[in-house]
Amino acid sequence: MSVWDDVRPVIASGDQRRLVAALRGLGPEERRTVADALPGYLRSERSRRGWINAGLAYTLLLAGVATIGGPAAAATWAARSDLRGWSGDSRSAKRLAGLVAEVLGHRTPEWRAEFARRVGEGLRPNRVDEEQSLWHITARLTRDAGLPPPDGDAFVLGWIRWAVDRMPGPGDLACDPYLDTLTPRLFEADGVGALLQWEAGLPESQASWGRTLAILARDGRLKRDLLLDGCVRRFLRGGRPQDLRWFVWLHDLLEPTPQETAARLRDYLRLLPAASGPVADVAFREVRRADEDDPLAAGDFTEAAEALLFRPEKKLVRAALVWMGRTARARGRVDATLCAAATAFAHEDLDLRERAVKLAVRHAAKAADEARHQVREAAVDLPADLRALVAESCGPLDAPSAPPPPAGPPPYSPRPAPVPIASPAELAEELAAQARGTREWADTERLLAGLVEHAHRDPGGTREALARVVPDAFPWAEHVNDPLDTGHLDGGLAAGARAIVWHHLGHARSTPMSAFLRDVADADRDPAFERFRTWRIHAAVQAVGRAPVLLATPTEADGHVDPDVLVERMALLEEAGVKPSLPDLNQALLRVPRDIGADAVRRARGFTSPAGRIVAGWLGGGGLPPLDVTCAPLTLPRPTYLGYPTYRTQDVPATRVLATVTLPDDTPEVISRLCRLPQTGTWTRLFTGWLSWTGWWPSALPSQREVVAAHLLPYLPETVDDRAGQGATLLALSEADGPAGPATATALAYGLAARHRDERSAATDALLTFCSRGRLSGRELGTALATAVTLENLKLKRITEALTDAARAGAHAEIWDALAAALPGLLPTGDERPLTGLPDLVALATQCAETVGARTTIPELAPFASRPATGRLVREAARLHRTLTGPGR
Amino acid sequence: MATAQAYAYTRPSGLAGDLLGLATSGGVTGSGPAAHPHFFSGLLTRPAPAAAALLGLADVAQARYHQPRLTGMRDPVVTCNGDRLRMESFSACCGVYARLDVLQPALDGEVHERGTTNVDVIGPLREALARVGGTDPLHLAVGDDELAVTTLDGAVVEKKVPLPERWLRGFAEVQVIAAGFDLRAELGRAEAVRFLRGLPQSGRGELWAVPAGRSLRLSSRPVPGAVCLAGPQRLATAHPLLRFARALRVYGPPVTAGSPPVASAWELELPGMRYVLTLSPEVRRGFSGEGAVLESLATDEAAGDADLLGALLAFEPRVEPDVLAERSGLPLERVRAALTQLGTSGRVGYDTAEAAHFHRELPYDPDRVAAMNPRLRAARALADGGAVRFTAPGLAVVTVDGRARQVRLDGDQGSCTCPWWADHRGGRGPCKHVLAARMVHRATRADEEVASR
Repeated sequence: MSVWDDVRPVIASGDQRRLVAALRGLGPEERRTVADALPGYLRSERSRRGWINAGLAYTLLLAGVATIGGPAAAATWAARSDLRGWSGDSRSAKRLAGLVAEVLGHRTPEWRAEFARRVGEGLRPNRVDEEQSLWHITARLTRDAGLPPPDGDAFVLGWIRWAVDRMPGPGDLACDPYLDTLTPRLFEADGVGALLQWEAGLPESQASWGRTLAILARDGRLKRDLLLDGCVRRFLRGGRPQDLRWFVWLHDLLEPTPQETAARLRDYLRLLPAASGPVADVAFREVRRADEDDPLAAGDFTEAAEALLFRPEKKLVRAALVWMGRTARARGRVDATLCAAATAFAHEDLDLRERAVKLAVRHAAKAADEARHQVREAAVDLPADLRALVAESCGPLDAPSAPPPPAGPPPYSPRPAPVPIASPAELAEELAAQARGTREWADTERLLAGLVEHAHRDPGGTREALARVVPDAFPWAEHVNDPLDTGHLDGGLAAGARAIVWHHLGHARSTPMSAFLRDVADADRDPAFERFRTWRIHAAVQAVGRAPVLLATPTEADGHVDPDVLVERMALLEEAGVKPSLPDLNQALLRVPRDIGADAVRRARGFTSPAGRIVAGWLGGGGLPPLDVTCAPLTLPRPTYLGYPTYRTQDVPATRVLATVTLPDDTPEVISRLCRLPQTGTWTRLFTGWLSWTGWWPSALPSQREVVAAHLLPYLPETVDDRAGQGATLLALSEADGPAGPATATALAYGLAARHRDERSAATDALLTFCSRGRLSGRELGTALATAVTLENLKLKRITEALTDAARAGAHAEIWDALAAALPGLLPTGDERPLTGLPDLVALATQCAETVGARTTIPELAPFASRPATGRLVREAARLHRTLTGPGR
Repeated sequence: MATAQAYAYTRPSGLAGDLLGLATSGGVTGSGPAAHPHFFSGLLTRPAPAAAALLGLADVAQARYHQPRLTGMRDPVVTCNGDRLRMESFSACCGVYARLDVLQPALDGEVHERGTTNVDVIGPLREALARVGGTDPLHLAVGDDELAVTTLDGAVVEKKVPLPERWLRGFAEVQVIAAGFDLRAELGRAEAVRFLRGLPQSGRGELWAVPAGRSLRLSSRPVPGAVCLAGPQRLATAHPLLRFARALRVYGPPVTAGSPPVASAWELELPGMRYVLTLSPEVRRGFSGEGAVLESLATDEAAGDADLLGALLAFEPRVEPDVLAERSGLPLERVRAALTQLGTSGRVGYDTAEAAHFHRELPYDPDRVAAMNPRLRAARALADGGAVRFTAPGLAVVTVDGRARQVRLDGDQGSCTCPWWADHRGGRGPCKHVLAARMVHRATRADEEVASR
């Protein structure tokens, strides 16, 4: 019997003690036998069990380390990823390390050192608990050999994670063998800050690395300079706030003395301009303390002040202005303070700008001419009230430079018109592409039109081209009874393609034609527009191979169908003797623009079929007139989830802006069903239905923008916090035609308050398109904004951001109009609590008013102007009032 | 495939007194390969922006923007083009390329040699760079000679960092992509600060920066003249430089409404130097898979021309195509194609500010940099294996593993029915089927020309 037969069952048992005993007496030859058999055994066990459990992993690791001849090969074996005891249990990891030391007892010290070095180097900083055993093995062997520990980042991180079982108290750490060697490395190894970042939030009673180090420094066990320098050096190296938070906290715990701060003053100064926020706070505090103790040198003060005033954090800029103001005279640096404050005159934040000006003005009397001159230069382009302040204290100012001409919103350029699919080959390509998923409804309409047209024009060529892609694109379509049963758009495409390629299977038979004409109870999830589209898809698929063309395919990007093209298509149908489907015909009628050429009307008069005569009548009558839309806030029951303890849904009254659309009595049935709102005649409850990807809706009614907006109103408030493609919908709305009224303005308001930047930025684009086309009055938008914010608790911060973007893009005048209309509804009256974020909105209004030179009065602002300036809102409102009523530029 | 790159420096880089010593490792100089080339000694007249920009480069080299976590850092590459020093780094995620051009006004000293190598930017140096401030001039030495006296200790620095093929290829190819950029907007200091500070802190989706008034505004969709900005957080390394900024210039390829995301370059003008960040079209997308160059690489002619031109380059700060055309006797068109080829093998870079190529040799194994693009390799195999069959002019069927893909060729445009094409629609260059069809098309046309002669 060979030695392997003795050892194998012991390995398999997972009993580490027995294994160590079994390995103890082996000679070199026997060890080699075991070592050679191990890889094969591991392989077979892995394939037999599927995985290696912790017990077996540890015995395998021990057996390998004990028997493999070279230190490099043994280290590689120990570091195998399938032998990691991933339990994260420190006791078993430590025991394993002890046993490894025991089985390596017969090796030379050099062998053991080399083995430990290689295992230590193999540690990875990103791996977490699974490497605990390897860390303990390295630690144990280096310590036994009296060697210094490896100083790689991973070993340092391991020390923090695993050296002590719980958070170390001062007692544990004071006698830790690595304290002196590894403490300096805490400040260098990448990842320490991220690992310890949560300590700062622990209660004081709980032990932590930070507090323990601070205590050891207090007791003299560690040098304070080592820790303080370590923190400052770490700050200089930079990093993300979460990587530095712990060092900031440790620095605070150490409470540097004035001498210590003075010694590091240069470093603190250099941290001011670019360090991350919390670090800059600390550096500023230390600079301030050093200044208290011993006034800063002139150059240092200027460096600090200019760096602080350039910081993006308003809080820091404000604090710096306060500090500069308090110390200017006491430290004898009035001139330097004035010059530094002048650099903040161009600050974007109006409040900070005013503070900087007032700081300069306050000290101007004591300043030298040169400094006053600099202040005057910087003040030239300030608004009139601040110019007057500066002129009073520093002398007369030069005339302001001519204001740049207002840019105006960017010009609107319509999207290019869709191009029909030109050949069966292109059709095949488009079908393959759309079968992959992501597509827009406009593309799918183009594809459906292509299927119908090419199947009619060149049946053989189309079948040949599609046969190459359809089996790959829709492998399932050959085996289902009816692809339309799936109810997805994919099913529609597959059904259309199948009708061409596998025409022996026949046309899809599903006929949900009447579904649209039935009343559907669940309007929440199945609005008229979506039902109408399903009907159209089914009708289009059934036209493949039968009709020469679809009537309703858009010829413009916004969804319109050119009347001349419509007449040509209708002529083709008459010629082929084919009747257009009901949804196709009605959609085509709805897509006729308001502007119809006489030629099309004349040619249409020649149609003889019933459908042709409908088209002729419609074109002759000028299409659908703008429909009547009214908009008002309604209070209705809204299903609301109650949560704990009942987990029930209950109707709770809520108020939302809803619209009503009424149509003339002679409107065709299908069109009336699609457009009228509410479907049942009266609003009875609010929806909570979540509807996404409504971007195609405007293209269904391209000349009735307000009607589309009216249909969107019940759903849009529910999408504010989500990515539901509402931005794209608003963009399409802005590019469509027809009157824009309160419904459109309200829809836009929800988009401007979207939580996600991409949706909001699309809504801003829509706003700019409206502005440049002159289609939406700012006043209307402002009123809608105020109502929507009040009813739906929209976040003002987001709206301010979106409006700021639009103003910067050139729409100052329109944004000013909107804000002038919105503010009366948003400003608090009496003891009302002001809305969060209102001051910033008022500040934006001031900026816009300054740019366009607005001189209107807003009576609601007047009470603020006479109040003492206690809060930011009062200050901003008073400033706006001054801008509107003051002397002007 | 990732092999490791070993960097060997005779000593660490460091700042001693007012001497900034950058240690160099193996590279290529005007007079051939060198283990530790010595390029420059002299004064940096604007030390604060230079130090801050160097820190930016080091940050980029360490970043993985699509999935932030600790990563090994590949050392920046420095090129001495005679009148300027260029330092380049490429992020670990292969999506951001950063370059600092220190121009003549910021340098006052002696050029010892022209060439390219790696420089070592390590933790202690980062600290030292962060301490640089004020306006006192700083001595700079790139290379060995003076370092011996100045650096902290004499320890040899050796490190190994994995060097994946896609990283190398991306580093080389970003230059070729940048060569297609034009200036789209120029912002003054105040607008640059406001725009960059106003960017969202994070974001996966792409935004479009559209020139508006004197600044840029962010939009959700492309319009002609817009520049794609994917992952605004990838411009973060420019923020600490804003205090020195004089202007921001933005470059990008031409786009139209409905364009897919594209790459862009953001150039911050600093006193006497320029800091440029080139961003890939999406945060999770590296430059290596862009395929912008495949069409021009698919010809054999370009490879021969590139060899010819490569021998004529001498680390010029500006490579002038007409001068090269004259010296090589090649027509201008072929010189341009050959420069593209040289770009993909890492032998020329592209400077958007000057709209010109510059010569540099990436200090990595040249054979690996030049290794053929996998898509090109696959296409060649298809073309040689007879998988391409033309059924009509401009219409081919390419059969791969029994699956037929239909390829349409229409002038410069090519399209396909494969899933990869469906997903990108040409946004990442042609697929292997289109490339193969084009190769076969070109070969048959050449045959016909021979036959008709």
